[in-house]
Amino acid sequence: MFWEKFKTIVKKIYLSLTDKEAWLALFFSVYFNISKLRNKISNIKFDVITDTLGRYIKLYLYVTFTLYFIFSLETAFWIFFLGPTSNGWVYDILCANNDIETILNMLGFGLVLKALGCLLALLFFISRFISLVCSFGEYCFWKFFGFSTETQALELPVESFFDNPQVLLLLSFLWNFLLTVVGILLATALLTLLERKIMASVQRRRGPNVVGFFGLLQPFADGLKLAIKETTVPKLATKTLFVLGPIISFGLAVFGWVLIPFPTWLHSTKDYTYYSSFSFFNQTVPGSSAIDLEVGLLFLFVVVALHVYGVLFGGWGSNSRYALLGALRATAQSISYELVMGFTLLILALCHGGFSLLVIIYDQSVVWNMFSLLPVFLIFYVCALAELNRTPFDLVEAEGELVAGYNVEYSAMMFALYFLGEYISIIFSAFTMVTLFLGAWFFPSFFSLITFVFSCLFSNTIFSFIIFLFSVLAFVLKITVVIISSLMIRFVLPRYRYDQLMNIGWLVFLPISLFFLIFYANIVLF
Amino acid sequence: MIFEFFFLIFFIFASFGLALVLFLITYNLKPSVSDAEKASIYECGFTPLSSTRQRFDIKFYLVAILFIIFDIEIAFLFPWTLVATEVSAVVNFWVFLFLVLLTVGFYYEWVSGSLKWH
Repeated sequence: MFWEKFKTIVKKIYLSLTDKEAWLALFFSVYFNISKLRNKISNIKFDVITDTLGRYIKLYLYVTFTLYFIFSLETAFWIFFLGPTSNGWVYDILCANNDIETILNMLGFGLVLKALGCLLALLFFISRFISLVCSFGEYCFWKFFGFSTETQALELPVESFFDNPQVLLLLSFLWNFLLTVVGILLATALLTLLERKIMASVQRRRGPNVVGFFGLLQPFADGLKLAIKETTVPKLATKTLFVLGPIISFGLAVFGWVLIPFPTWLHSTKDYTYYSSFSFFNQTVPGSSAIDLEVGLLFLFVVVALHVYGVLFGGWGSNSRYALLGALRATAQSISYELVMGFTLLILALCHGGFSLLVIIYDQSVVWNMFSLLPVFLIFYVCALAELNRTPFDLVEAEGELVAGYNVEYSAMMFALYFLGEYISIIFSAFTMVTLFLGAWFFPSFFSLITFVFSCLFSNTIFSFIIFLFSVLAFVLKITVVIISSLMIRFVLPRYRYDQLMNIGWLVFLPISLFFLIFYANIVLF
Repeated sequence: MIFEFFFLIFFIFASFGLALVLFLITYNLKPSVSDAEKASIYECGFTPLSSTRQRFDIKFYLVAILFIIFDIEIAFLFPWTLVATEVSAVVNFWVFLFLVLLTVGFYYEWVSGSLKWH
């Protein structure tokens, strides 16, 4: 069994290595991740070559990146533990009067963060996984269409309330929605805690640690406090806009989640054989989002663009000088960086020949877009920071000038809605970045040897489950890394001046992204 | 596909509805005892002298206009990306001409100083 599989694969590789035509197209398809080119020469040998070689390229990139990461970690280590103090961390631990948590924080500065971060991202997966294993939604879906597509369905007697197809459909919608929302809100709560913990560690404090173990209940206590406070609406404010602002902000942040694909193990509803034909070690794990729109990328763009209204309504509606200035700034900033983001999405659509998020993900099974479209990824990252109003672009909430920006007048739950919307957007942007550029749930290439061994040892069902677990882990880790990196920037970088910010947006990023659009268009077309 | 759009519409209503419900619950949970000071707008402890519904910097307006131009350009190019490899060279030539014209326009805006903040 093992030997036969091994022999056929080796034979395939040997045959494909002698194909010259495939070698020619290899360069472009691997380095620029262009699926159109891959389809142009559509033979199996070519796929095998791209896959194996792509893996080697990826392995090389991974080794270099890992080395880079280790070096930077080492530097950070020396700065954090030896730089600021004269005595060094060993002295601190041994001689100072520290309790267990301080020592733990000092020894395992990364440990606590990683644990929290993984918990954060795992929460999504617990919720999604439950929904998939129960597959309640799919059951309802099939039941609904099983009744509606056949004519005899109408003659079947409806035995109970829950056998009614419309009711079942609505229930499945509700179930999916609730799972998503609960997952998001829990993760957001943990994200606020994570940010405070990281901030504390950077500033050599302990952060929230009184409410619950490691301060795990702190965000819930904060939320409860905000919920039972009194809502004040200023007399001069435009009431409707004032109320609509936070509602739009929160609603849009939640609404975006309908698009994000997750890896799946049970995939009965859709056929993904077209995509999995590309993988060599049968590594490709199918994914599904709540809805699989063909225009997913465009939809993402729309959801991001609409965020401006929440800020603008709130700032204009509260009729306060600080709020108005904050809202104007936020709007100008968002729309100018949105253009640049639009250009990056154009490049992505050009290279993958479609707007579907799933297609973009499966195209990255060999080489991630982060490597093939590195400049685009960097531009996108900066734009995401600007869209989220995070440091170094948090001019909206410049405390020295504008007190609190557009949400000066807000209190209680209305403030909480703005706050939640902002933090949900952080996680959302991390998910989009991982989906579009970091290869979603495809794990690094040095795992491919292990998966090869697994594929020979186990039956298909067990193998696919193992791969599923691996890819969930990869997805979680990537998201955690992106979220933590975007959080860390806040504690490291200072804020731009407003004219600098706008000049960078219009005079640097816009021409660069225009240039890259023309550059990649030339590669794809000629 | 129909199922997906059903779910999309449901999700829109559900997510905005959730926000509305959260707001309404907390709004009615605690009775509001308002006085003149509490209902006034925050302005460093002073009573605000005038309304904020006044003129603001023309720059913001200019940015909005430029944004519309470039956003329309992006909207034009999105359908082209789908068929870029399939259509003839003539079509692509016109698309590139369009891009070049916009770049020239962009350069003019840059030179005339409408993009700069002072």
